[in-house]
Amino acid sequence: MIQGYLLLPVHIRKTMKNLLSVFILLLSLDVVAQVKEKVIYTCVMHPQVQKDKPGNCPICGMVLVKKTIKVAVSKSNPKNNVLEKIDTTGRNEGKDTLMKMNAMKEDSLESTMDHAEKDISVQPAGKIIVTAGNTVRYHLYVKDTLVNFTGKNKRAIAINGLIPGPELIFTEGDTAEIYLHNLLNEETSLHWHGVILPNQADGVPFLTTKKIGPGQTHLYKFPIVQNGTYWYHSHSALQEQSGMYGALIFKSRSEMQGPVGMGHTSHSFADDAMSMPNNLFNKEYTVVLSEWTDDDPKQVQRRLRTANDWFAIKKGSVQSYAEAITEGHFKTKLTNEWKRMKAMDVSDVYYNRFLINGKSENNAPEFQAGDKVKLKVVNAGASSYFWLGYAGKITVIGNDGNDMVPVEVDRLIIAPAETYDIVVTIPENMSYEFRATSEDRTGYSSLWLGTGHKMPARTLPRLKYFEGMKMMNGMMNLNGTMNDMGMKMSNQMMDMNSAMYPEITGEATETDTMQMDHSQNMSMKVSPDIVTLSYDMLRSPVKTTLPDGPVRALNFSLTGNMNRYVWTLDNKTVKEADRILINKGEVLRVAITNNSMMRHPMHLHGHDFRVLNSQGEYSPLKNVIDIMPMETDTIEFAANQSGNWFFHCHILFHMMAGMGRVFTYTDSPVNPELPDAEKAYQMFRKHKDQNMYHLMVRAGIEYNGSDGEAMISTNRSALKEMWHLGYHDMHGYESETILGRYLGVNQWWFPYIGFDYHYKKVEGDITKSSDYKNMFGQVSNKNDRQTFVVGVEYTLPWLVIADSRIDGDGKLRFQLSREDVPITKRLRFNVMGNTDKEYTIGFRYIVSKWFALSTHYDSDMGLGAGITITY
Amino acid sequence: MVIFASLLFSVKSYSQDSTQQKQLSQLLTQYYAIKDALVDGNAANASSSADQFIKVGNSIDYKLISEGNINTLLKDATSISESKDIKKQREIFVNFSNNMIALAKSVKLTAEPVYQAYCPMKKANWLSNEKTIKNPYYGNAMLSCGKVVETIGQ
Repeated sequence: MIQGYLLLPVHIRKTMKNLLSVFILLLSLDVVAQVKEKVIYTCVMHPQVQKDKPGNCPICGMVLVKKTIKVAVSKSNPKNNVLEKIDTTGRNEGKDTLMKMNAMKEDSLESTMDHAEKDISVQPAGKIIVTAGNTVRYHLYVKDTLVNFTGKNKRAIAINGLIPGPELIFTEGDTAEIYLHNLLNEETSLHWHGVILPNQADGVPFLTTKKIGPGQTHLYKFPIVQNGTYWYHSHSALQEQSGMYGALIFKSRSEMQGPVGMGHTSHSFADDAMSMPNNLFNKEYTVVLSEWTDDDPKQVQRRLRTANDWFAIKKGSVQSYAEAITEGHFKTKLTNEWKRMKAMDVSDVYYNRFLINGKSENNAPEFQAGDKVKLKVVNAGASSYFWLGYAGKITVIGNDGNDMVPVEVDRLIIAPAETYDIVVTIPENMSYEFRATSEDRTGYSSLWLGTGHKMPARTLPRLKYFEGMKMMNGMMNLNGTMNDMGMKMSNQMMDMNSAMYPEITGEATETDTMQMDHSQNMSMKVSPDIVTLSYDMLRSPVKTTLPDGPVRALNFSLTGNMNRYVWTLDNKTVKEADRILINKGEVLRVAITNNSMMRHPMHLHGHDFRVLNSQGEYSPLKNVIDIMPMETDTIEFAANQSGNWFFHCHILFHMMAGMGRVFTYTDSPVNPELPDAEKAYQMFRKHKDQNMYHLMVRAGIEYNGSDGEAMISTNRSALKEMWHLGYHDMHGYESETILGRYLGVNQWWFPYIGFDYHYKKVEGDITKSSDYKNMFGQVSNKNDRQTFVVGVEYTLPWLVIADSRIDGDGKLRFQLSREDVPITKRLRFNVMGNTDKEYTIGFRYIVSKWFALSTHYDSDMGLGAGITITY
Repeated sequence: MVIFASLLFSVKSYSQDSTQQKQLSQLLTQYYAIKDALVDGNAANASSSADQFIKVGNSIDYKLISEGNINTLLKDATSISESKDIKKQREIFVNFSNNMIALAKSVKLTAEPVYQAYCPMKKANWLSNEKTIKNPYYGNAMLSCGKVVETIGQ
């Protein structure tokens, strides 16, 4: 061949040589783009010697010679260029995006995959990367905004004009600088959920970070030391419910970032496809789940506290006696109220809409047949659990920002604040639905991947509430304690709620499914062989074991009270309990038992913890653990931080009710934002978020008078005013004002003191009237009574309130009453009788959130009918 | 002025407190234990030392060694701990050592000198706390094959 070459004319040989050189150059350019050139000093006798500086060979002593090599580990100090972004999504409203490309490329090191022996079954891991990243800066402007999800304009809070807020993207190794500009009329904050960072950047006002008042700007600065899917949200008041949340994506250093340009998001799958050479997925997409209520979140919290069952009416989950009888569950309902429970729902709040990335329905037509898409799912919902379903299988590869060994399931439930990385495939050029259905199944949001003929996800039928009630009856003892029936449950392995799921019990029918797409010729019968993810199936790719030695064991029980909406750990709110002191270097093992009737997603700030499951040494690392009623889950973590870290239920309304604790490291360095640690902690305890009080009013206006009550209540106390006003003296006027305290986990005891005023004009001889003396034979003096009272209320089975009191005149009064018996969805019955020979019975028919039609018969004022206004 | 500048320089990087310094030192010690087990050709010891390495690694603050990096080390350590075959452990040890070397050069793991040695037969590096060559890739078969190519931390 060489002879042939030599026969060619010179100019052609030259051309060929040039072409060849160009070809090689082009080839090597590809290589050069990925490797770095380095100057070394080596020995001609011993080429393994490679030094940074000139010198002598340590083996033979000869002078080292200079050489340039292609692959090396470099420790250069890059210029830290600043990438400044004001808005990062394609949906920005015209804000300029300043960008400077970083001149320093990361040292990408040669993969050892090439060097691994072919006969080894286990592949070595990649290389670590120790070079510093960039400083990445974001400016976030938090402002009131108007939204319209339901046809009505409502107030919300947006970040840079967006709900969800902008997706913030960093790479492990970067330094984050996030400016929060508070353009609200109230204080605000941002918490970086799941992020390991210095305590002062954690974002909890007065616990870790200083107050950010109206008009102020705050800088959060911290190094990015993790990779994965995280999120951020307000940690002030109920702002999270109003729209202050967004995705936080930490790319790993081994992912080459695609070109950083205007509106770069992880939706730029073309770029991302290039940067993810793996066989699990070739594209990715961020999915932020949330909910929307047209109600002011403060009103939502108030209605939960005042046990207003308007939400249940909206959701159809009243579970009245009439419904019970129709469904053959009369005894179930009776037993339920006998055990002093009120109708339970899996979720407390009625939401108008469920959203993915701010919309009920989304389209991602860019995906094509053969794509494997990693969905980075964030549950930014304040209180909703979502069932995640797909028109196909789901492979779970990550949770709470940590990698998991891939596991294939049909569906999974995601708790508030959890994140899940899941992979779904697009088999054909059709449109496949990814659906997030709220746990109470009152609605869902959709994301359609691909274009073409629609393949919907499975519809989840409405819950069978009375089956759930029956199950709850089994779990609750008469004395209010829970009964686990000898089953040691943990890690979502046994979903007791599945008694309510028609798709599991095999009873799903056409009529059960909601919003069916009738254009599909698909059978809606679903198989009970649905594989649901549980925490027990999550396995870490590496061992997560912690150092041997003494383990500090802690126990908590999650306690709470649906009727009064008080949620606690060991029946103490965060401000009632002491801080938990921990020491750096300890290993903590925390067993949490859920002794309440609702599931709770418990979140620990600033740490990952192991969830001890059957995967043993490979127990997964998480930062939120959803604990179902009666489960005991055990978590474990290394105490390797410093400062204060909040541990709380991530259902916003439970957290606001006080369901949490604070872990405090001893010997922590001074927090530069809160230099007086004790003073700051007291401000945290006294903050209005920890000290809510709520007003409730129910006023009946009927033709025989006005009957009503008003109450201001906190977690533990209440000031109640009850009135009974006729229109004239013959009917009388009555007013009772009492102040009392709720005792016990179930808050059935309510001792009180108060003042009683009764006036009624009586014709004729007062001593002759039937109620002149009470049942104890004491002179009742109802007709002109102004006296102090001391008494105690107690909630009996069937939710009858037994009220025993003695007044300043030495008179006893014993009373039994029951309010709000749910006869039908909207009809309520109440009844009262006492030893002063007073009694009432009445009915109310709830027409709207604010008012009901009512009627009652009263021993003092006779029959009346009218309306009742409820606040 | 010089003192001021050097002070600035020394607080530039994330400073380690005594607990963290102890952890880094323990990490290196456990690495040495794996290396020594491979030198002895003892797969069981290599496996249990790898387990100890993992435990220390899992307790280190990510702000000291970031998640991606610690997981890379843990992945190899997990492979070594799971294997009963000294040959496979030695294969993984190549990449594992390269990563430990990179780590040792970027973070001060110990006050003692750390020696980087190179085996020309295997074309692989390892770290040792002594200058005497004891080759973990070949053990007794070629115990003294290799040379110290760098001293870290001096």
